[in-house]
Amino acid sequence: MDLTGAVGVGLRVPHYRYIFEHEPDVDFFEIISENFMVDGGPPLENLERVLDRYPVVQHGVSLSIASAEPLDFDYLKRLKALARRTGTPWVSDHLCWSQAGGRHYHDLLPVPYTSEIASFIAEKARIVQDFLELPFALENLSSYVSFAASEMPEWAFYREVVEQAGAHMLLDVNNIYVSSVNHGFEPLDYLADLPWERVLQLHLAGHSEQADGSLLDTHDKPVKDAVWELYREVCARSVRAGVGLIPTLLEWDDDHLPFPETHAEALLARQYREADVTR
Amino acid sequence: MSRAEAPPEPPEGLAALQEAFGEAIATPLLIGGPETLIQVDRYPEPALRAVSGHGGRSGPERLMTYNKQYWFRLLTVMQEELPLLRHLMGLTAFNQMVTDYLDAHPSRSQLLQHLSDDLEGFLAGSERWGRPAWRQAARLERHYIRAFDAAALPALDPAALPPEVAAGLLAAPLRLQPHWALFEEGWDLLSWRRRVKGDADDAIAVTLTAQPGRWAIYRSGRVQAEALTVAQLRLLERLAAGLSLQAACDGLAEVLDPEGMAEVGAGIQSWFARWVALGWFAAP
Repeated sequence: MDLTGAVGVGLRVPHYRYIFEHEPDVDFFEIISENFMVDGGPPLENLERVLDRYPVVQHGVSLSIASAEPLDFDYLKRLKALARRTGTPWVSDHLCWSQAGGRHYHDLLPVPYTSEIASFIAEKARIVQDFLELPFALENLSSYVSFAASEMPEWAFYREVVEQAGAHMLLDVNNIYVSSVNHGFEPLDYLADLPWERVLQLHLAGHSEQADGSLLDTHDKPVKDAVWELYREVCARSVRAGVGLIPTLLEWDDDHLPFPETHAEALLARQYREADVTR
Repeated sequence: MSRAEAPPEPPEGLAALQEAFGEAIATPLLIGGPETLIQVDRYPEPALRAVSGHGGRSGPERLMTYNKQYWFRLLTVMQEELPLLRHLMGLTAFNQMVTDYLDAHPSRSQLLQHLSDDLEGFLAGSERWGRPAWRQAARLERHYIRAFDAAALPALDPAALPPEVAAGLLAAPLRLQPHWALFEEGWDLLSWRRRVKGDADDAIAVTLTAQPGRWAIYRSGRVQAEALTVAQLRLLERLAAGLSLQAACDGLAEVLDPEGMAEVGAGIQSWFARWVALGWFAAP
């Protein structure tokens, strides 16, 4: 499956009817793995219909790779079975934790950025990638706290994890921007030493501003101009680095628009990157 | 590297930090007053010490973002998953009940569809939330949630069975589909659930009528419900317990009156044919 330059949309329930009736020309869909880690019913029936027509990539939210708790191999077995079903070219999840003390928090929670923690996560990521027998990509978070114990900036930590693991990146451009506002760094600093050859996929999304000026990664609005400009820069740099145009996906999880409008928002990516590449 | 090898040891302090952080963000919000209050004074000290402030926001204030998000997300999921209970209780009381429930029974699964697994037991043990109608509603909602994405085994088709298997069908234990369940109600709960399912704005006011009902909840395309008589219910209970059709019928006199037995005698063939057609039974 060659997704070079592809532009995709997150597969969401409100859009099923339109997709099945009109079979729009979409490069690929991304599914949230956990939504399809079930035993039967409409989720799997709808997935089969999508797979008949479209490439699908898998993205998860519950691997909790940064948790102090050990990997859940029952979860990984189900994830691998789903990957075989979808034929996804890679599996991704977030550089975060979501469980502790046996409890699941259903959120994407950050860790302090230390070398020791990076090495710990990298070892787990290597195990995951070996087990899945597929490229495994970690996505950078939008985060709302920072830790006194951090020894390095987020981008250095992210790079250390994926390089030690021999794993990959799913670079969320909106998350870079949201975190840059929330933590006061320059978003271009995030891109400076990025190992572009490890970036398998890009994410774009909308966000919301809170009353105090901080940003929330809400995935319920169009992509903001500042994020599009950052995306343009990401694409220019990936081309200069020799890896070409990285597959891009629009995430939209709430306050849904009709599918054609959502797809049109995603396809803006072609305008933003091609204007730069041809310059 | 295989799973047989020892997992990597976490850095010292990471587990404690994450447990404290988790405890902070799962601190219940105070609902019901003029505004929702965040109980930042209950955040564990290790979590408060670990986080840094920025841009005019203190570390605890930044933790509050995760605290609000945690409850917003889980309350939203439960509101969508339990539309009948939400309408029966009213939104504010429902949110308070869910807060009490998840505080006592935090999520133990990666999958959000398991959030309400322990809800019926929680309601049964709660003086505040244990009204019988609410407990029955919770049970009904659980059947719908399970039926939605449970496995579907190949369906029994007597006409397609080898003759020797078909001949023994009456005497063989029948398997009911994983998505199938029986439900008894003392009020018109199922009828109301059908009406409020799509009412996201809570515009519909529910007024229950005391009215016994018996149902089979199952999935055929979508989740559906089939009304049952007492006799049908008792027969299906025995089939679900693993009895053959013959054995299930043989023992019915213990649980049915003569009128019920007569109903079974007159209807059993057409009932079984219908239930097979609805896909309730799995192939042997």
